[in-house]
Parts: sequence; C-alpha cells; structure tokens
Amino acid sequence: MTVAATTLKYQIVNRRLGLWLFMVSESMIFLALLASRFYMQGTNRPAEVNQTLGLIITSILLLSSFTANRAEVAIAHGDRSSFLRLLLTTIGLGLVFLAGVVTIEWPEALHFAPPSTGYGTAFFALTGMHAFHVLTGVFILALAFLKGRRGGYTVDDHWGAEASIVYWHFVDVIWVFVYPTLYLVGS
Amino acid sequence: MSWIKGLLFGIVGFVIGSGLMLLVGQRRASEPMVTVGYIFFLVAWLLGVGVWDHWARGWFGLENKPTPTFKSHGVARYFAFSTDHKVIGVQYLVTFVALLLLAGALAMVIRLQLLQPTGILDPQTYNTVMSMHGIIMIAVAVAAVIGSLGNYFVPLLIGAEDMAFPRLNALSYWLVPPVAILLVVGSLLPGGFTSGWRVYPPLAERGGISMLLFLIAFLTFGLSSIIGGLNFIVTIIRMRAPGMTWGRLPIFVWSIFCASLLSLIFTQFVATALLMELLDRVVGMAFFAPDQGGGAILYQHIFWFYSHPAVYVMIIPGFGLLMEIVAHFSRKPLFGYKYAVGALLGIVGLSGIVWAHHMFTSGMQDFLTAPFMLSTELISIPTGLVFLVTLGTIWQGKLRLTTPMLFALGFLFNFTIGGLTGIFNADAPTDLQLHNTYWIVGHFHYTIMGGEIFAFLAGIYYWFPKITGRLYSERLGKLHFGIMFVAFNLLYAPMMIAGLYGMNRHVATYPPELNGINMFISIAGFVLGSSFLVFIYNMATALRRGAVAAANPWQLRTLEWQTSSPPPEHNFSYAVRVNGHPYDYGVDDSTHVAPATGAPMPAAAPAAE
Amino acid sequence: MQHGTAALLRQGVMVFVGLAILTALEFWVAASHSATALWFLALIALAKVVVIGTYFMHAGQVFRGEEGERE
Ligand SMILES: [Cu+2]
Repeated sequence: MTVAATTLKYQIVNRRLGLWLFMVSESMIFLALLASRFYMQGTNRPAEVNQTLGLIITSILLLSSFTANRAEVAIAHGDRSSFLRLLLTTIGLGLVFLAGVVTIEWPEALHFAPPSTGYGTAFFALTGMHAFHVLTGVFILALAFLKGRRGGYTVDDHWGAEASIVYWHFVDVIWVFVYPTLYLVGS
Repeated sequence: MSWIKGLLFGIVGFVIGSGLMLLVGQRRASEPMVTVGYIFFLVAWLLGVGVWDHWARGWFGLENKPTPTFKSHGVARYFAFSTDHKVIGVQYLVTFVALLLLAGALAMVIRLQLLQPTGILDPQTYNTVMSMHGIIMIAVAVAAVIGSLGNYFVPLLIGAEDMAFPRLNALSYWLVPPVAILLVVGSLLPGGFTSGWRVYPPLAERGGISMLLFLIAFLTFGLSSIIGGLNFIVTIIRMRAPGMTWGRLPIFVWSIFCASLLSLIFTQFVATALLMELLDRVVGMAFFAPDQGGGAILYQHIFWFYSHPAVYVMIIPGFGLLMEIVAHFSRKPLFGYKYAVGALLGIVGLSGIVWAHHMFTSGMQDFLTAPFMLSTELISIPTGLVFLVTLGTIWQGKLRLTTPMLFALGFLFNFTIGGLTGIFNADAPTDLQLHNTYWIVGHFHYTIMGGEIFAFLAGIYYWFPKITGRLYSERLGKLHFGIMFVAFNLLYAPMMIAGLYGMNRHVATYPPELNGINMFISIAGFVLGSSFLVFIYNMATALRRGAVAAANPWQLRTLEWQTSSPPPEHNFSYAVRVNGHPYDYGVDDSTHVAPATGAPMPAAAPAAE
Repeated sequence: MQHGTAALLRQGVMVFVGLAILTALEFWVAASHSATALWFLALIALAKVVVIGTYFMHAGQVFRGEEGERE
C-alpha cells in the first residue's frame, strides 16, 4: 500500500536510471581495455591497419545511429509502420557492421597483428568486446521489433523501444573511442 | 524445486555448449570447450531457476507466471525464484552464513597445517585450501552484509514496498550458486588452485582447468555484485517514502548507497582483469606476456584498481551498521550525522586513487610510490571522522549493552587496531619490510574480520527478532561475543608479531623457531571457530522455540521497527510518511514516522531485554 | 507533444551531419598531424559523445523524474 500504486511513468524513470547506471558500469570495461592498449603499446600502430575499412564501418554505425533515432521519434509519435521499417534498417546496418568486422577486418588483422602480439591483443580484445555489445544490441533491437510488430508499444508506453535504441547509441559511443584508439592514434 | 530444475537445465546447457565446441573441432576438456560449456550452463541455469518462467516469457509475448507468494508457499518460497526482497535477503543470509562457516572451516585446516613447521598437507593441497578460504571469504565480505541485511532492510528503512527492480534482485542472488558450484568442483580437480584469491599471472594463467574454473567463478560473482549495486542505487534514489529526504536517511542506507556506487563502477575492472586472463588462456592473447608490453604489473594495476575499493565495499556497510546500532543503543541522536555522511562519501571519492599501495614491492615505476603513499594516508581523515561520530554518539549516552551493541563496540576496538596497523603498510619504507609477511594477514583480518564480520554478526543479532519474529537468548549471544572477542585478539595480534619475526604468508611450512607462536595462534583460532557453535546453537533454538518477538522489542525509532515482526508481504500496513530525523532520541516532540492515513501503528511492546 | 515531428527530423539530421563532420575531421587530423593528434582526437571524441548523449540518448531526461511522480 505504501508505494504499491507507483505509476507506469514512475517505473519508466526508474528503469531509465537503471539503464544509465548499467551503461556507466559497462563503460568501465572499455576504459580498462583502452588504458591497457596505451599501457602495453603506447601509441604504436602497425602501418597495415585498413583505413578505408575503418572509415566505412564507422560510417555505417553512424548511419545506424541516425536511423535508430528516427525510429524512436516515429514510435514516440505513434507511427508504427515507420518505426518498424527504420528499426529493421538499423538492425540491418548493425549486421553489416558485424560482418565487416568479423569477416573482413579480423582475417586481415590476423596477418599483421595476431593476438599473440601486443597490438593484436589490444585490437582483438577491443573490437571483440565491442562486437559482442553490437551483437547484444542487435538482439535487443530484434526483441523490440517483434514487440512493435505485435503492437506492444504506445505513445505513452514504449519503454522497451526507447531502451533498446538508447543502448544502441551507447554501442556507438563506445566505438567513438575504440575507432581512434585503434585506427587513428599514433603512427 | 528451482534448484533441481536449474541444475538439470544447467547440465543440459553444458552438454549442448561443450558439444558444440567438440563439433567445431575442439579437444575434449580443452579450455574453449569448458568455457563455452559454462556459458551455456549459466544461461540455462538462470532460465531453469525461474528467469524463463517469471521474466523472459514476457520478451517473447508470452504470459509470465506469478512468483511465489507469502501466503501460498510458506518455507518453500525460500527455495524458489522469489522477487520479494525479504525472501531474497533471507536467501542471501542463509547462503552466506553457510559460506562463512565453510570458509571458516577451511581456516581451521590452515591453522591445523601450521601447528607444526612441516605441516600435514602437501603444499599443493595447502595452496588449494588457502585459495578457497581466500576467495570464499572475499565473496562473503563483499556480499554478505549488502546482499542479506541490505536487501532485507534497505526497502524497510526507506519505507518502500520492495526494491526498484525485484526481478533483477532475484537474478543477482541466483548468480551466486554457480559460483559456489564452480569453486567446489574446481578445488576437487587435479591441480587445484595454485595462486591464491588474487589470481596473479603468470601463475594463474599456467594452472590447469581448475584455475579456469576459478577465474570464471570470480567473474560470475562480479556480475552478481554489479547487478546488486545498480539495484540499490536506483532503489535508494527513487523508492524513498514521502518525507524520507536525503538528510533523514538512516546511516545504514547511506552506507549501502556508497558501497553500491563502488561496486557498480569498480567491479567491472576486476571483471576485465579476469577476462583478460581468460583471453590469454583460452584464445592465446598476450595481455600479461612480459615481452609484449603488458606483463604482470598491468594485471596488478587493474586488479587493485578494483580490489582496493572492494575493501570499502566490505567495510562501509560495516561502518553503517556500527553507527546505526551505536546510535540506537546509546539512545542519543547520531553525533554529527552530516559529517558521517560526508565521511562515507569522502571514502568513496578517495577509494579510486590509492590502489598502488598494494604494489610497493611489485617493481612498478618508482615515481608512483610517493603519490600513492600520500593519497592512502588521506583516507585516514574520513575514516577518523567515522570514529569521531561513533565516539561522540557513545559519549554520555545511556548505553544498553545488548548483544548487537557489544559486537558494535567490539568492531570499534578491533578496527582501531586494524586502522593503526594499516599506517605501516601505507608507508612505503615500512611496507617494504612488512610486505608478504603475516603482519599483512593480521592487519587485514583485523579490519575485515574484526570490522565487517563483527558488524555482520551485530546486524544479525540486531535484526534477528525482526526477520524471524523470535527472540534469541541474550545470555548465549553475550557468551558468543565474549569468546569470539577474546579469541579474535589472541589470534590476530600474535599473527602480526609473527610477521615481524619473519613469518611469511602463503607458505605451507616455516622455520622451526616460529613454532611456538604459530601454535598459540592456531589454538586461539580453534577457540574462535568454536565460538560459532554457540552462535549456531543460539539461532537454531531461537528459531524453533524462542519467545515471540514484539514488533519493536527495543522501542527504536527507525521504520523497520514500525511494522510487524516479520513484516507483512508488502512491508507496511499503512501509508508511510516520514516527518523527522531517525535518531532524535530524547529530543522533545520529535517523531521519525507518522502514519499518514490515520491507521494505527503496531502497538509498542514493553522492553524485552 | 512539444516538438513537432518536422522539428525532430531537422534536429536528427543536423546531429547526424555534425557527427559526420567530426568523423571526417578526426580522420583528417590523424592523417596529417600525427605528432599532435592524440589530444585532438581525444577532444573530438569527447565532443561526439556529448552530442550523441544529449540529442540521441536524451541524457537530460535521466534525473528529470517530475513527470513520473508517484500517485
Ligand atoms: Cu588497499
């Protein structure tokens, strides 16, 4: 009876705070890995790092952030069909990003920076950990897509969609640090 | 029921996961096979114990099943996936008291070994016993107070109905059994644990599958700790009853808030350090290979960046319990409440910049020594404030020397010694001599065992009537305290002296001239261990036939006493409205809580001392 | 609804273009100023995070609990 009647809106604020705390906590993993990269290798970077590919996948992720933002605006205004279309685009871009990392970038990097070397360790650990977060992000977006298709979101209650999209932006924020650290810093 | 289903699911999951790895060409019992098998085990275990039934079905558009309730499930609900914070608190309490006793029994084995210079166990087994004792006690110290007393009493103390995320709360508990299972299985495998609880490379990267299990157990435990911390922070920020301002928050709640902040942020670092070891082991990376730039020092930096704050995750709730209990049983307002809160926040602020004081002898860069010496000594300022607050509260109070109060005063004495001996570890010149000796072991146990575990016991004795609705025997409680306090000091003070005489830690054998003092320590250890028999006997008889406890047996002001013992399913039978400070004993016209709807509060019963 | 969809679309596009420019800048800085690049890159990354956090992730909403007060 004390706080039995907490409103839905109240709970959504709770969950939003929870999600942000979770993201703060997750950032620490990347902070530790990024610090390790500099501790181990300073700003060393092999010349063979594929700059074109790095720029392309970065752009793909950036584009997916935009479509995710558009999807959120759509569902917040009750436009379900655009929401689903934009969310599907975001998921697709996420999968293209993953494919780029796993099937092109990794096999290349195995040649000039295998995981048994200092730079290779940092490279595979950072891109791997980030790819893992991309994968979970795609999974959560897919759950939101399924729920949206069932008509599970309304203008007032679309927390699941909002959460999955905020998490997707978080994945992008991580890449904002990983990309320059692995591709651009040093020489 | 949950347990059996979880185990069955888990085993099936392990078979599927490891089978998949065999299919892609991994060898049997290879590291990738065991790791992937365990990930499948963990997910399947969680789904089996109730995550699927009560949670995940909703993700796929199915109807979630209801969780067990107070009325319909009786004692059985303690073995099920419950989302009631009181049930989860009891689950934590029983699990961690059991783990405390298990790791205590392992300590008895250690002392048995050290009765004689040559011992009875071979060094390998001794290392396994020592590592098990270490990691289990660390887990107990990190989670026992927060998980059990925090879970049970934070919502009550802030006038909430439950935690902010009840299902997440259950998840953080159900992540603990796999940790225990992994550790027990790992310790029985050939090779055992070689490297102590800190799992420094390269040793931890070289051991067999048993070391792999140790690493993933530690990692799983970290996950549980992070989830728990997150839940407490949201609960304390968002679920306070009307009128429960930050300035009226009971100090125990403040302490849980501070500890949760630390575990939310810093636990990820130990998780990453362990993950890096796993990556080195399982996929052949080179984080801690000395010739690739990282090396063991990198591990130590990341590891202690968590593990120093971790000691505050352990001790801050202890401080909270200390001040809470001392204020209530001195029947005085908490002296300098704002300074107490400031001190706890100050410890949180400083805790992230002191870690390298564990590494003065590690071979790190010399220029790091002085700054870390300075920052470490700064921490004695907020810690000193906590002591000032406690002493100021006791000063001229009407002390009621109940069992919880005795344990709190014991904490005060022990931690004073623990704190003062810490100065010699923080000073690099003395630390160079003292490091790696029993001086460190004695100091550490004075702070955590003499501090947090004493506080934990104080908390158990303090809230036992509320949790169970029964009264324990005060006489037996005081007997437990008496034996434990004396034996404790006879155990750990000589340990520090032995350290000064050159007794190294982490050793299975020692020079014969140290035999006398070691024998003395061992005997004191056995007495300390036996004092827990009094505790168990007292609790068990009280549970079965103790007198029925009133709602508020000691006439205290805080919210948890203003409801029945044990509290009803949603904690309060009236709408809570807070209108005053929790500790204003003897202040005219001051109340902490007034029923807002005019419903009667539970009648206060006469003192049951 | 305080913001029309058109205004939100304009905002989204502007943020996207801004991030794209920052990314191009970062690439150019790394390619041409490798000696001083580290600090520039760190600053650019922080700027990107502030933009994403403010406009895409709505960081400002986190502690704005008023609209969700208890009944
Ligand atoms: Cu420390």
